[in-house]
Amino acid sequence: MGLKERLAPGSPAGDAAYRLLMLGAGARPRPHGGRGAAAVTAALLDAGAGRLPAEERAWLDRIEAHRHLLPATTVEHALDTRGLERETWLAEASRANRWMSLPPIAGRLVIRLVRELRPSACVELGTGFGVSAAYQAAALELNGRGRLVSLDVEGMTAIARPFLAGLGLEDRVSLRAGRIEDTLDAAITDANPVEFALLDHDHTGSGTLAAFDALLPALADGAVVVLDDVNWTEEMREAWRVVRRRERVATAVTVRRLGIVAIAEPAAAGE
Amino acid sequence: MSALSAHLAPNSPPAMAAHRFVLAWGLARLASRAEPRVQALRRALAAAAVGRLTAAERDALARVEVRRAEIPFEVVDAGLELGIVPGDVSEAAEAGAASADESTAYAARLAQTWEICRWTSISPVWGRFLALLVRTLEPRSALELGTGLGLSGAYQASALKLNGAGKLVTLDVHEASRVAERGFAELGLSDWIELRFGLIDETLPDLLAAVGPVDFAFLDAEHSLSATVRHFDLLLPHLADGAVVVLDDITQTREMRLAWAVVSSRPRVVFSLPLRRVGVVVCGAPG
Repeated sequence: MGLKERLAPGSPAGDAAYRLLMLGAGARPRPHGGRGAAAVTAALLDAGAGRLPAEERAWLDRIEAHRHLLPATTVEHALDTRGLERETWLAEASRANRWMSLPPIAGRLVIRLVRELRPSACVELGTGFGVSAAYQAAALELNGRGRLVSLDVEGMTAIARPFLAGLGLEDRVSLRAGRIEDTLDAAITDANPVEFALLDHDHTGSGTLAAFDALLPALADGAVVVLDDVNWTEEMREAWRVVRRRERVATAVTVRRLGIVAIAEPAAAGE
Repeated sequence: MSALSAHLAPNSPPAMAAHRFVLAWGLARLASRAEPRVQALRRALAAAAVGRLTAAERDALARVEVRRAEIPFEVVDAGLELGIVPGDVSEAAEAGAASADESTAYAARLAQTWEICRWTSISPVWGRFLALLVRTLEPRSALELGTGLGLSGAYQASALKLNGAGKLVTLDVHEASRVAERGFAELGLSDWIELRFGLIDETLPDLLAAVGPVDFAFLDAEHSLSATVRHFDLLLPHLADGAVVVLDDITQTREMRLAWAVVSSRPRVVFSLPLRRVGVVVCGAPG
């Protein structure tokens, strides 16, 4: 078993690495970051220490349990639409579910973040199988308020929709199918001001940067944006370096593949 | 919940390691026994220790775990009261319910039922062990005392379904087991498991008179010395030659440790194996 496999998402060593990095990042002082930065700090420390309320654990278990069934349902869908060989698809879908979807340990962080922030409007670019949307929507459900707009191509939303419905979260998420370049503007207008956003769609540096810049004017003061796969390629690492230096970004944290930025609050500077 | 018990939660890496160690220790104890009755138990232990499962078995077990994850939400949405409250969660739940904030009350009730599903119900590793035992032993007639929320029943019935033969009858008095009934239907297990309500002391003798020899039994009802021994003794004359009986929570209290000592020293018991919280006995020929 290679090092990569040992540190795979969901493996004990992979989780331990995540938790240590979260604790380390959470321990760094952020004196003038405002509400967003405070939420990031609290979420990093809680997720790193494994200090989660039981109701959040109940949701994490539920999402995990359904996620185990995802490869099989994804394959049925793929067979329906494309008629490819079953075993190939099953292996491919399991691999994708394991490596592409947010790992459970990162899900903890997302659920904690959304619980701390209590946002009214969330935006997600790149629904995928709907796993990360489920983490956000579960937190909104526990908050008792807020909605998520999640964008992806038709092929993905068709898989995510029954997944979210199976979790009873369909009322918290509005899935919009289409090319993200086409659907983004309307989504931003509808969700303005955006208090939480997750970018996990276009894994090119320019695409990620363009989406972040499009989102930036609509972001509320104290909002938090999570970018996935910021260490994916050199191009993505460069885009992440640009994002974290953008104006209004009060604080930026990197935890393995996740990049998290908190938007400044003008009032916080005067405190 | 103390920090240590949280770290030893079911399915946490240390708990999994401990589980494998317990199974390996059980295997070592079985190594010197050549009787065919004990060999089936050895195969089940080996399969559970190594985690060698077929795709169909994995799928069936994952579905039971989905059910476990769903129960708290079903219970809270339906406004049911489980009435089984483990230790220190009730206070937090009461505080939450008293709060005017609706989402806080929802979160508190969810937290409470989740604790029950996670700590009171059978853990995933022991559920898997139970399922593999049923897979290897292939019992025609199985019996469970104490349905609870129906998770252990679902594990056994899933295994019977994969075997393609056998029937499990499960007994409970508690109304919470209505949740179990719905679960069996949802998992497509209704043909393999039958739930009977009533006091076990009243329902068990009639049932035993009707079903004929029992090949497999899981005892997880009242956790007292007298009830456990009484149930086992009621069962004993109706057990088939080579029948396997599994007792849950034999280390929970002093009374349960005593109950295990009594049960495992009954004359018809040819082999007994304590595996941490679970005790397994193999019965010889009657008379």
